[in-house]
Amino acid sequence: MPSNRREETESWIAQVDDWQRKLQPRFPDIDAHDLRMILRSLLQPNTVPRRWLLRKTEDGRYVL
Amino acid sequence: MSFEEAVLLEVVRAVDRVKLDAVVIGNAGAALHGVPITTQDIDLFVRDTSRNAAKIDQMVAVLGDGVVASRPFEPTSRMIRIEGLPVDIDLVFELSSHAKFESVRARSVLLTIEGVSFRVATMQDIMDAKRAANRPKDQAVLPLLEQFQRVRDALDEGP
Repeated sequence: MPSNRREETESWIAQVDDWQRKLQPRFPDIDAHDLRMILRSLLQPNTVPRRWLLRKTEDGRYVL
Repeated sequence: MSFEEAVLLEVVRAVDRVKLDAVVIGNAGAALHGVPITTQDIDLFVRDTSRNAAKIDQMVAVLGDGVVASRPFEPTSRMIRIEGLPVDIDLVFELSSHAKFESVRARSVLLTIEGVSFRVATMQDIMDAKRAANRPKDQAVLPLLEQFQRVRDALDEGP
């Protein structure tokens, strides 16, 4: 991984950590793993592709 | 370009080429807002007019050989499903929330991919439609959509 890409990922995760610390007490009803998943998605850098479309394989399975 | 971007670009280019006024709704719309969710299709909300029916026929032709449109749920629903692409495209003419197309479009968000603009319904319109539809699959996803909205609002407020 190129260093700038690594720094970008580290910055992203640090932001997620920061917001999780701030928001978890405010949203005790949201599961910690769900909150982190939402934060990761919201704070994801544009350079990291967001995966959300499932495609059907020839054997009928759906995969990302 | 990711699979998502490639598929979306193919669809919005076809929509743009035939000048079909459409708004992305459903889970695809939610995903485009950033909700960590997956879907097997892309839902488009359009006006149910004869002019748009002709544009949809043109759109299917633009999408190429092997692409077909049908109304698989008639007479219960007039929804048109376009098949033959890597994912299905569902064109719906009404929402369970009974929100008018003009209102949903007016509130929608304009996004651009590779220079092609397209509209995505607001999270509120997407959630309202799912609450009104109230199918098991809507009930399953609504808590995540509501949590996402609350967290996004908190981020928008700032630290």
